[in-house]
Amino acid sequence: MLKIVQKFLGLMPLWFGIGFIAPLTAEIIKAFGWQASLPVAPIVVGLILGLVWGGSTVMRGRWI
Amino acid sequence: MSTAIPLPDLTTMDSKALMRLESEIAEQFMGGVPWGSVTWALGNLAVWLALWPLTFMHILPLWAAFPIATACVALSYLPSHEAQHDIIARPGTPLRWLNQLVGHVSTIPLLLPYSVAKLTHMEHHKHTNHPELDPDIHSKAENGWKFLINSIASRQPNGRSNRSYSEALARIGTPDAMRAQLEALAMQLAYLAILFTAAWTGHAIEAALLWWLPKHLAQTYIGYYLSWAPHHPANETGRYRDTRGFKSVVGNIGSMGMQFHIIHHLHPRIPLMRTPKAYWAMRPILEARNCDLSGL
Repeated sequence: MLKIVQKFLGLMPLWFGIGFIAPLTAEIIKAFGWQASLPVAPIVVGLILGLVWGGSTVMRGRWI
Repeated sequence: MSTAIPLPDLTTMDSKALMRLESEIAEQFMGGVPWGSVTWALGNLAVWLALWPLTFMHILPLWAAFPIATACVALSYLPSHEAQHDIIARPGTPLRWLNQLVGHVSTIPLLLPYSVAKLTHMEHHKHTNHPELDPDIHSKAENGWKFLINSIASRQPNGRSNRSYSEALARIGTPDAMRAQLEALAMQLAYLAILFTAAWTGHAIEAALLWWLPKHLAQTYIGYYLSWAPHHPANETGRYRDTRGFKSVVGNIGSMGMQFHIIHHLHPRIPLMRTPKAYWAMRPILEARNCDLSGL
């Protein structure tokens, strides 16, 4: 049980990427009216950014 | 509060006599309930909480709410700090509940459980500037710019600020310290659940500008004025050398009273709002003790 919790917490940047960065990115895209120039929905861009940034943070141990 | 004690010739006094005089002066500034800090704690939290419905209902624009939220989060720590030192009410006194209430609720915006704040802060007092035992030593830096870089680096998932508090609690090792770690984890998970829920229900920008970004800005500001500036260069330990007086470019209020933080480390039960007067009353003794007063 403890190992599962530790694994879950270790992946926190990934959850943050999906849970927060993705919808935040989508809202920013819409707020600036950039969605018309995108081939995909703003949330797709947000999810790609959140997954890539969050995933790389899990591996590197830092966001920036 | 009585008027300042007229000081005798300090050059003729030995260390014990100086200590007695210092304590006599300090006692003039202790006691009573610091109602200003209590009002500050509860008012500040109320303002920050009010920002959420006000922005969600478009009564207050986000550009106006963001700086207010940042100020609220930055101002949320010090009332809890008064409670950590039992300044609002000592254990066993009728208003003890108020001390604990302020301690618990004021740092909610900062996401710092009272138990963690109190236990780690007492370690900071016990081991100020110690390279391994001071939980706040990670703020040590050559200058303000390097502090900023350190501060950002220390908040990364593998950063020192995340580790130093949990390591301090592990070192303390009591059941209270173990419980504090669990409280910190629960608070962090609740924060993320609120952020994620707000974000996925169309309020991501509000959540970012009312909590996430203000929290980071406030942590930097608090770290600078409450930790880096009063302990800089943080190379020495010892009662009269681990904390300094300093002159802030943003004044006493802008630096949240931390110009006089040396008084707090010498006499932690003096309320924050009385430390400037206590400093000026005690200054000749601090000079006699060779304290670093950096022109203050």
